[in-house]
Formats: sequence, C-alpha cells, structure tokens
Amino acid sequence: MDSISVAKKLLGLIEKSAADAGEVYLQTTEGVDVEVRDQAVERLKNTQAAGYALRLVTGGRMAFVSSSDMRDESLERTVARGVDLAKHSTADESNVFASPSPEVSVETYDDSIDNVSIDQKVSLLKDTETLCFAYDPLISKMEGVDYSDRKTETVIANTEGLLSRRLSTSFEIGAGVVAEKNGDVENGWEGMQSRFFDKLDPPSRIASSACGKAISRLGGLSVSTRTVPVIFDRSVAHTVLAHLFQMVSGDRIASGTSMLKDRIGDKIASDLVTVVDDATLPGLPGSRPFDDEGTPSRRNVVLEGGVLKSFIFDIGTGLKSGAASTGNASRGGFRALPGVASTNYFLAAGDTAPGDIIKTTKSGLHVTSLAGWWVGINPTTGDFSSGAKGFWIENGVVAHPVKNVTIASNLLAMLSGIDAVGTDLFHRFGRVGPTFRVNEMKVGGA
Amino acid sequence: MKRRDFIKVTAKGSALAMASPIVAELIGVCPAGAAELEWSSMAGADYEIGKVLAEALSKGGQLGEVYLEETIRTGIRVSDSKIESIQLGSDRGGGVRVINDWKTGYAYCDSWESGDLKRAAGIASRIGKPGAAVTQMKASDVKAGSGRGIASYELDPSEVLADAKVRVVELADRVAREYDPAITQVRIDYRDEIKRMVVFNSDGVAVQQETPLMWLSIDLLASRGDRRAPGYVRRSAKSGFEYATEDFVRETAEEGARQAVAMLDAVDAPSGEMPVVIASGGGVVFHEAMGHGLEADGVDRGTSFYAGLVGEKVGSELVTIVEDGSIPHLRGSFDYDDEGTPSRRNVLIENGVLRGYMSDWLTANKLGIPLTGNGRRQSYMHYPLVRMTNTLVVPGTSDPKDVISQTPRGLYALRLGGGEVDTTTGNFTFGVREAYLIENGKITSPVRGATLIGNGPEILRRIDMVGDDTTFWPGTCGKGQWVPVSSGAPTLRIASINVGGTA
Repeated sequence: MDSISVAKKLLGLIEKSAADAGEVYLQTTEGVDVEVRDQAVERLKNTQAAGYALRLVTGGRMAFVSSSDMRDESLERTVARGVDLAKHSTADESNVFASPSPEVSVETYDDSIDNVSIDQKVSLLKDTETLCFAYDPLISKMEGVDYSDRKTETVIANTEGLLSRRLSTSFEIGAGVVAEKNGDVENGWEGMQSRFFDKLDPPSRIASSACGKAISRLGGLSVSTRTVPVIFDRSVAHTVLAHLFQMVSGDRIASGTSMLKDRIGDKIASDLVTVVDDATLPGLPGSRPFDDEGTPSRRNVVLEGGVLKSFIFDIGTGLKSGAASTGNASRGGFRALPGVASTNYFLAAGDTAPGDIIKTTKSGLHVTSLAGWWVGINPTTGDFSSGAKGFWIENGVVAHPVKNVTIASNLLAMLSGIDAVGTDLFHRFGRVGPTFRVNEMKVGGA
Repeated sequence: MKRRDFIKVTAKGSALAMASPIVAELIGVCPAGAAELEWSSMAGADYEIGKVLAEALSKGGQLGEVYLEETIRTGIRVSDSKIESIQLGSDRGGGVRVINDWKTGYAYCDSWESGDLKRAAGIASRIGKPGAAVTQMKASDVKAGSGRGIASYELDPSEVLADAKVRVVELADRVAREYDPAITQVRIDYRDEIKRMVVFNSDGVAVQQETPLMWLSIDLLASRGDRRAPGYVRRSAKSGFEYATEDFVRETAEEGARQAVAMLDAVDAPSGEMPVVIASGGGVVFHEAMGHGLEADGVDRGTSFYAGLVGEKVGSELVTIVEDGSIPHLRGSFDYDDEGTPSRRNVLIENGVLRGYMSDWLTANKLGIPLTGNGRRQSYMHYPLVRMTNTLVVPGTSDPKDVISQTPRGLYALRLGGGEVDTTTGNFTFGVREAYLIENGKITSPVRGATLIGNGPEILRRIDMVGDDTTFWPGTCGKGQWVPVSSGAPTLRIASINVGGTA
C-alpha cells in the first residue's frame, strides 16, 4: 500500500477513536552507506525502513506513539494505545496541528538517486582514497572514506485537513586522513552533504581539503595564555552558530530560559552579522517545502546587521511565545518527537576576502579545528569554551601551527566583537558560515 | 511476576542445520491489568533462519548472521511541572550481516517475515564474491532465556501502567523544587525500555535475551538575584521498573538540586595547566581518553595510538583499567553482546601496562585476539561495532580525603560533563559541570565553565594518586551509533592538565 493510503487509513482510525484531534507522520527511507578501504568495499549497508508516528490529543492532552509495524492490526492497536496514553499527559493549549496552506515549491529531489550505480558510488570513494595518498607522502593512513545516500518520502496528515507529501534525496561524502611527520600525528577530515548528487564536491576537492588540513596541523605548538583576536575558519563557523541557535530556539524562548528572550529589536551583534535560516533554498541539505508538522517553509532572518529580528519556532513553542511557527519543526526520523531545529542556517557572507582577514590580523589565532565545543557552551550564561587547533598569526602571516590551546569568551561578547566577515560562504552542510574574526578572546595555553 | 521466555525454539539440537528451519513461537503472558503488548502478534510465525543464513552466504563468506529485535520504549518529559510529552514506541525488525574477506555487508528490514529477511540477506550477500569459500554452518542449541541474570528484572517496564511512571516524574519534580526556593526550573526526562533480541550465526551462535533499561535525568536551573546556575543529574540501569523506588527518585532529584544551588556562587574557572582532582565517578575521562583507543577496530586500521603496544607500559602503575559488561544492572551491562558473545571482565591496562583490546567477531578473528564481548549495535538497523560497556579504573589505596588535602592548589572536578576524543592523537576535551578550587589542600569556591583539555596517553602517565572509592556514572556513547554505557573511577589526581576557563 502506498504511503498516502496508509496515512489516510491511520487518519480514519484516529477520527473513529476517542481522540479530539490527531496527526499522522509517515516516513519511508531507502539508501546505502558505503565505506571503502584499501581500494575495496569495507562495509556496505542497505537501508530500507518505514514507520509512522501519531500525535493524538484528547481533552487538550497529547500523546506520541510510533511504530515500524505497518500491519493493519498494529495500526489499530497503536491508535488505541495513543488515545489511552494521552490521558496521562498535561493539557496544553499549544497542542495543535498545522492547518492546510498553499504549497511552497522547493527543489529537494534528484532522480539520479535511482540511476547512480553502486559501482559509481564505490569508484567515487576509491578515487578519493587514491587522491589522498597521492596528495603528499606525509599522508600515512586513512581513517576512512564514506558515502551515503537516502531517498525519503514523508507524508503528514492531520485532522485539520492537512495532507502533504514530500520526496527528497540526500547525498553525503566524507574522508578522514592521518598525516605523520617525525612522530607527530595529526588528522584531517572533509565532507559534504547535498540534495543533489552532482553538487557533491568531487574526490579531488574532498581529498585535497582533508589532506591539507592534516598536514598543516603537523608541528603545532602551544602558546602562552593571552587575550587576542581569534579568526574562525569557515570550517568551524558552525560552532558559534550552534551556540546562538540554542538562544533563539523556540524551546528556550517558550520556557523563558534564553537570555535573548526579551531582546527582539535590540542590537546584540556587530553590524557585520546577519544570520538566516532558510529551508526554501534549492538543493541544500536542510531544504524542504514544509516542516515536520506540515508548516510551509520560509526564509527567517534571525539577525540582520546585528539586530535580533526573529526567533525560530515550531507550532507549540510559537503559540507559547505569542508567535507563529517559522516552519522549523523537525524530527530525527519517525521515532522522534518533533522539536525546533534549524534547516539551512548560516551566517551571511561578508565582503572581506578570507586572506585579507588574516593579513589584517597583527597577532592572533586562526582556529581551524575545535574539539569539545558542544561541551563548553553554556546556554544559560552564554559562556563558550573549547579546545582549539589552528595557526598563530603574527603581522598578518602564519607564524606556526597551534595545538593544545583553549579559547573562551561569552557568546554576546563574541557576536559584538565580530570585526570581519569573509566572502567564502559555502553550503557544505546545513549549518555554515564564512570565515570571521572576533576582536578578542581568551586563548589558554601551557 | 514471572519472567517469560519470549521465544521458544522448538527445533532442538539442530537449530541451524540448513535443512531444518527454526520454528519460533512467542508465548505472551500478560498479567491481568497490565498494558497489553504486541509480542503476541509473533505467535505462529515460522522462522526459516537456516534458509536466511544460506541466502546470506550464497556468494561466499566467513560469517552469516541474523539478528532479530523487538523493542518497546516509554518516555515522559516534564517541564514546568507539566507533562510536556508522553510517548510510546515499538519497533520490530531484523538485520542480516555477511562478513567476507573481513568486509561487511549489511541489510535490514522492519519485520521478522522470512521473505523480508531473505531479501535483506540477498542484499547483504553482495559483499561476498562468487567462488569465495562458504563457511560450514555449525549447529547449536539456542541458549534459552537470558540465563545469566546480569540484566534481570522484576517488573517489565512495558507492563507497568503509565500512572506509575507519571508518579515517578511527579515525585522527582516535587522533591527538586522543595529542595531550595532558588530552584526555578526543573525538566525531567524519564525513559524505560525492554529490548528482546535473538541472534543466530553460521558459527553456531544462537542466543536470545531480553534486556530492560531504565533512565531518569533531571535538568535544573537555580536563580538568585541575577545569578543563574544549571544543575544536572542522571541515573540509569539495566533493571526493570523496580529500580524506580521512592528513595531512588528522591536521592536523584536532591542531587541535581544540590548541584544547581551550589553553582549559584560559582566564579569563572581559572585557565592554564594545573593539578586536577577528579572526584569518584569521573570515569568518562578514561572512557574518552583511553577506552576508544583500545577498541580493536582502530587498532586494526592502525589509527589508534595504542596499536602495537600490548605489553608496554602506557601509564602510571597506579592505574588499572578494566572493561566489564558483566557487572549486574549497570547501564552498559548485558548477558550477551549483540553478536551473542557472553559479556565478561577484560583487563585493558594493568598497573600501567597495556594488556589487551576490546574486540568483536570481525576484529577478534582478523587480529587473532580474544573475543571480549564488545560487539554492540544500536538496533537492528545497525551492524555491530567494537564498543565499550562499563569501563572502570579499579580502586586504588588512597583515602579520597588525602587526595585533596595533599593538593596545595588546583581544581576539584566533582561532576564532569560530556567529552570527546580524537582516537588518532588521543587528544580529548570534556566539560566540568561542577568544579571547585582547591586552595591549601581545601575545597573552596565553586567555579563554572571549566573544560579539561589533554592527551589520553599523556594524562595516564600523570596520575599520581588513586583513591579507593570507585563509583559509576551512566552515559550514552556515540560512534556513528549510540549505545548505553557506564564509566567508573575512584577519586584520583592528575598532576597537571590544561584547564580552559574564562578567568
């Protein structure tokens, strides 16, 4: 039976049940994961999964039930169980579902998913591996080269009359290498996600980027503790964006736990900072016509010229905050509760060439790798700290690689202190930014 | 409540003989009044496991394996004293794995139907090569029931009514709020699970087990004036619902509230190299800093910093690190791993000397090392990988009080946060949720925002005091897949480590 029919059947069961309102979320996924090692397929995994989740409301109380069992008797049992479970929940006025609305068209499907052969995928990885080893004799080992693709069909239907279906593809490639020199060992990784196969970086670019990172890190030194300008390479820009996201996400706005909750319209960052979440951009990893509650996608400007413009909501957190959903409900598969998440979320490109950001830095740290940054962000206070690697910049040129240091500051201080934003924005993943510089951060060393 | 065997294998003595399909039958016994479950829908199904394995190995291979799983999970989240979400998930599926020439083919389906399993087997078999040797299939008895009692339970969480679970979260919420008026926000995450699995392979392994899992975590915020401080606590065990006693819930909530209130007075953490005393329970350091490097897949690839060092001195002789999935009821424990190998105690580092690695079927056979019971997977949708279970530093001889009093100046890391490690270099980073300064051998001001940054092999050499008070902390370890683990350690001192702070 096709997904629309199953969704309609489930909706019919909900309408017959004691539930006042309900929603069906049904997802079918297929794809492969390939890993190549020593020019042979090391692991090949085939994914073929389907399942559904229901949100059922009785007396304002909601329950969430999910199952991968699509047999008729199971569908009935899941509905009955959800209706029963809802009684135990707390009634909440924000337990509502999306109303039908006009469709937004977003390019998310690449039919080459059915045409690219497994051999082509494998040879992509073999080429990448070969190019990594050919890049430089210092490249001693591969941590792995991986490819995966998915074709996903999602159907959302609810008792408000909404019935939406979307079909999307996603492709991903990544390579990790190890460089060694005089007993010093460093690694480097590069990867990319896209909804279109031919938009993926070619093996040559993946290989040269991963190898370049590993080799450039060899011979790193620590530096003494000091406060200096810190340049965030575009490969680590997402860390600061993730920290900001925690504070503009509807969860924390609705619960009152964000320090930005009353700051709409305030200037909280430097003029150079514009942050956008936009699922309507064609073909990017977070692109989709509607979110995981069925709300149409739209472009949301979070920060514009440093001014806080908008938060990011799903229906529930929006209602609790007196705002509409921004189309940011997301689920990590059908088994997961929907929650607020970013889509294509990025720091908009500035007008300074990344090379000029380095050239105009008298003495500072150019960070190219952050370790444990997600551990070191405190959404309550805005504190940010992380282990870092990169390059020491002296008089606008690279003095030496740096390792074993920490960087620390506070998010608002960092956003206000951004004094240069690069032109090099590239949507390699869902959360990205160009190279940018923070005027000062604490660098902790030996 | 009587434990029930959820699958009864009737093809006794020749479970994996190719010609005689296994007939499995579910015996669903639900006590009166308990929630009705869907295991009974399994009844009468005919599992031609032998045929599935034959299909899996049709293009050759060293190992064919079928893994079947059914899992029921409940989750309740509380925020602002309201039940924000209540959920129930049930999954059933099967995965087929083929290993040929040490390469892995894997495919899965969301059912236990033999037709679907055979289709998955056909896809997984593509890792084989025409003409490759086919392993002779060995027959074996199915090890009936979980048997070993490492994850035994009294009350199947899926049979406990939602009312009882709601009472748990309500009690936790009340106790946390009553602890101190400064506690302004409380979020509670309650989860339970029962997982039933069967694994068959062409080596004659045939194991079934059911494993319960309980989880309670509490996120709190304390506020006083314009100061705010977070608190966090979690508890988890491979136990049934009997785990959630009133005393347990109270103790958990009080611990989270205590931490949040204590951190209200925190000052910015210092930065730079300094001695750090890690309080009992800080085993996550060893999980991250050594454990991942001792997983045999990284050793096989040569990307682990511990490759080729068995028998070498790799750390302070005060340190003995053990991996033990057989400690009853810990979060990382089980009777059998997800390849059907019994869990056991494995000494990884003994008095500073590297003794061995953790392995799964593939790495043990490929490297010629012992099978240690560390082949684990997140679910039927994942192939097994070498994973940790419960990783611990065995107790030393120092009195924990002496470890602090003999430290003139440094950081006392009472509760650690999450961490990550680069297994190639051994560099790790993790956060400290609750830390204090040590001044003149005494614990003084609480500090916030501390991060510990170091190199695993280096830190292991710098441990100069080890207490006698090992305790465990539950976690969820990610390596492309998530599995429940725990880590244990006594109070111990690292002579010098880089602390990233803002002061």
